[in-house]
Amino acid sequence: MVLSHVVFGLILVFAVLTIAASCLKHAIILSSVVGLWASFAYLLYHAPDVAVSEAVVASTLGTILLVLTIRKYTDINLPPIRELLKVRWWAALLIVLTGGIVIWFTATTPQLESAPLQVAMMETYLSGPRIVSPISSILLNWRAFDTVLEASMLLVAVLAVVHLTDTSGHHGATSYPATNLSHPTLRTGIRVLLPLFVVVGLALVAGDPFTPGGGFQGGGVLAAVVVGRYLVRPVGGSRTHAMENIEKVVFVLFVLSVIGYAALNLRSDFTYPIYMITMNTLLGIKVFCGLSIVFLFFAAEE
Amino acid sequence: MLAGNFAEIAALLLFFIGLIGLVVRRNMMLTIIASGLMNMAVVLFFLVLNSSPDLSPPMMAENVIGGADPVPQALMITSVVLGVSVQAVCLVLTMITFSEYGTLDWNVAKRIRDGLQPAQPVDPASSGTGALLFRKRKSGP
Repeated sequence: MVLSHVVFGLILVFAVLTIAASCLKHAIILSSVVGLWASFAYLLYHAPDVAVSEAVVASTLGTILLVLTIRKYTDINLPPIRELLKVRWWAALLIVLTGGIVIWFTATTPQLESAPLQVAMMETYLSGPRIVSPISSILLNWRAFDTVLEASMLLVAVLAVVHLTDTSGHHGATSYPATNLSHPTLRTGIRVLLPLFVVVGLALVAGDPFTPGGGFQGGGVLAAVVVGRYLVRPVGGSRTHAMENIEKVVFVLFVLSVIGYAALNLRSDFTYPIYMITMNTLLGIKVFCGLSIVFLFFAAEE
Repeated sequence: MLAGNFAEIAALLLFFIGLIGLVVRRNMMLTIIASGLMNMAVVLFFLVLNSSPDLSPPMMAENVIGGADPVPQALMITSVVLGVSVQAVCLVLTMITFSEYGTLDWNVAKRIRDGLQPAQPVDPASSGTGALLFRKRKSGP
């Protein structure tokens, strides 16, 4: 148990350092460190799927987006938190009191004896042929309509990024530091690692019942390939238009296959694995396109 | 105190640390980072529910209660990806606001919006979109 105590302690320490940082650069890097420790904590608590997506998508891609954004700001120093606390001490005190009450209730509430939903899900999984991992099966079968709505939210976010940056024209400072000043070691390393990333990403999308995997994580790893390629040789946003169209088409296919599978009552032991692989592939393509478009728009030098 | 549900308490602490950052810091970028921390805390809280380091991952479970609970994990995978896409939209909105007002400070931006302080747009060519986001308030009585 000592290891998980240390990990949680480090998460909290780095979180406090993040919000007390005196420079935006420090805050961004520290929040990414919090993300990496959190991903390790997910792994300790046996959630490998979420650990992969946190490490690849939130902790890496999110940090890259933040770093690409602060290129455009002239002043990235922050006022010290001590002065801000003097002004808004009442808000901080209120949060501390509320947090204390919530934590006290959580600490005194007894643990649940059993979770009926977990029992039902695991019974279905263990009594079945075990060809699809339980997490993919919950994500794409039991709560497929929710997943459709969340995929649509990703599409909406991508369209918002594309259209807001399109209509505003030139925004931000006039001179950005170039991002293509990469070190030869970095370039060689990325050239060696990229094929590995592609293989890992495709393996995650295809999935295997006994290892973590699925469309969300695989799409994130494949989007990391686009980021790596950009570091080696920056390409413009010329391909984003095609990707946007692919994403829209894939989203329509995704919705149609969920509705078709549920409404036409095609559920059987034979169609189930085919449906799962199709859905994971569609979700992987969709997440890959969405995250790549967002990255390329942020990386654009104008 | 360190036994039992200490992991849930740590996740709640992370949430409230993020909330303090959100409320106390007056910088737009730090607001986005702090809300990212809160998102992470929610994911952490769900994942440590009904799980412990002694169990096995759900796909390797041998019996019904021998594995971690798969339901919160399936709920949280989408939340991680959506957190990043929401962050990207927030960053674009912040960039537009910055180009219009020339500041990242919420208080200064509010004063500029109310006409108490002149704006210093970074790029005078930009116009239009920012006005939609920060519509000028009517001057009160």
